[in-house]
Amino acid sequence: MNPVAALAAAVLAVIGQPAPSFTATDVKGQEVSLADFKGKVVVLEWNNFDCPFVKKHYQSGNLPKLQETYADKGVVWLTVNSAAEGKQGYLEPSKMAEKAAAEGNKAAHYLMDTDGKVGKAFGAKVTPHMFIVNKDGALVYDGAMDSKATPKADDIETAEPLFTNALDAVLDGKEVPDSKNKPYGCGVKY
Amino acid sequence: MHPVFQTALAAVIASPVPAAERSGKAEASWLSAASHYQAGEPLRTAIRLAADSGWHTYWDNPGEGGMPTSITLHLPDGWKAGEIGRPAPVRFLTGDLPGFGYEGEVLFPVELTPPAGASGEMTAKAELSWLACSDDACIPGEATVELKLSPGKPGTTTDADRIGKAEKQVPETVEGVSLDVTADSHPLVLSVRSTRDGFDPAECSVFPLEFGVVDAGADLHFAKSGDGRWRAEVPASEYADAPPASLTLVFVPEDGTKPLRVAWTK
Repeated sequence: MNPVAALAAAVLAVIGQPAPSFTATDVKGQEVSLADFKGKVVVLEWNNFDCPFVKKHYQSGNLPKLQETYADKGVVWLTVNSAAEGKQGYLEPSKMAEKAAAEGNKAAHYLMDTDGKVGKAFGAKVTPHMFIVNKDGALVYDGAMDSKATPKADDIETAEPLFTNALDAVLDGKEVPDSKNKPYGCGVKY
Repeated sequence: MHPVFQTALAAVIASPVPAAERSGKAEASWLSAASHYQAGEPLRTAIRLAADSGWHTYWDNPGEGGMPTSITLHLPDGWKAGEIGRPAPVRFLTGDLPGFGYEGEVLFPVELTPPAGASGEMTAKAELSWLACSDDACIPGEATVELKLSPGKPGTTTDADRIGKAEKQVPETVEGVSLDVTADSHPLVLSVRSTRDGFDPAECSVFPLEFGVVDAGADLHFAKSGDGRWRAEVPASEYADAPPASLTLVFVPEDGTKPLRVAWTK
């Protein structure tokens, strides 16, 4: 079986269905389960600070600002790092905590998914790859940050904000537009 | 005048070394098949993008992840450019992600036509923006490359051969070959009909030009079916939320003949 088929076969995440349950440890050593946030909207953001498409959204301040804005609206934001040990984007948890702080990451938790189980269950392909789980625990968004698949920060302002459009719809109790679209970025370094 | 040009008009003229612009993990330059231009006469050139060993850049359909290379031309007044040719790609995996593109060097052929009254040295510019990836990392690149040419009797440069080879790798649309897609089936059923001599879809590598219609990681192989057609079954892309309305395939014959582009519309 080729690796693509292997990856596809393990994906449990389907739009409209319950999101895959998981438990992972954050950079501070705290265990975090999706079930802990029942009744809240949860965002999962796949991360690798060495990826130019991730740099686009951090160095411009876009992702830190969104993390802050939506935390104020009661959203639980989980940044997930599925890089295997030794691969690009991996640091040991204490160093990752420092790195995330230096990059301005304001997520509720920065999760170390070093064995890739959470990433593969969700079918996370790239960084950044965005997922939204609604208050009922269903997966309601699987896709890109926005419509312009470039590493240029200047493009953020003119792009269609696919992810925040979806998140706003979830918070407003409306149907999620474009709930599944092609995410752009660097491959997750499983 | 250059001594080579003076004494041996028929000889291949060493190409003036174009300044290669380096950025990230690749370098770009603009090559010409002719040493000089003649007013009103089309001129064969190619924009070269060479990724470092172990790195690749992407086709129009990059597959999962990746990013198509973009090229914007800035020509002197009155100069015209034909379509920028995109040679047929190869398949690769970047980590787990299936993609389409070019390992190492690719030449994008483009024909320029000076206006009838063109004179004096001309400078054309091309802005390139690309993503180079290896298994370990992706690094974007940006460069502006220049082509400078003077008017005069055109000699063949040392780049002419490789420009010619690149031109033969650009897919062309031909008569006598058609594609049909049964859009409401799972998997999708693709069928090709051809009256073109020597074209055998079963002896081709096949690439989808659009993302999000057929699964980028799927094997796309046609086999001869009993009704004088060739048939392939392929899973739809997970991003295809409606039956597809159009699909364009690029067939790259294993015998090295020119690739074909075959389009279907519902």
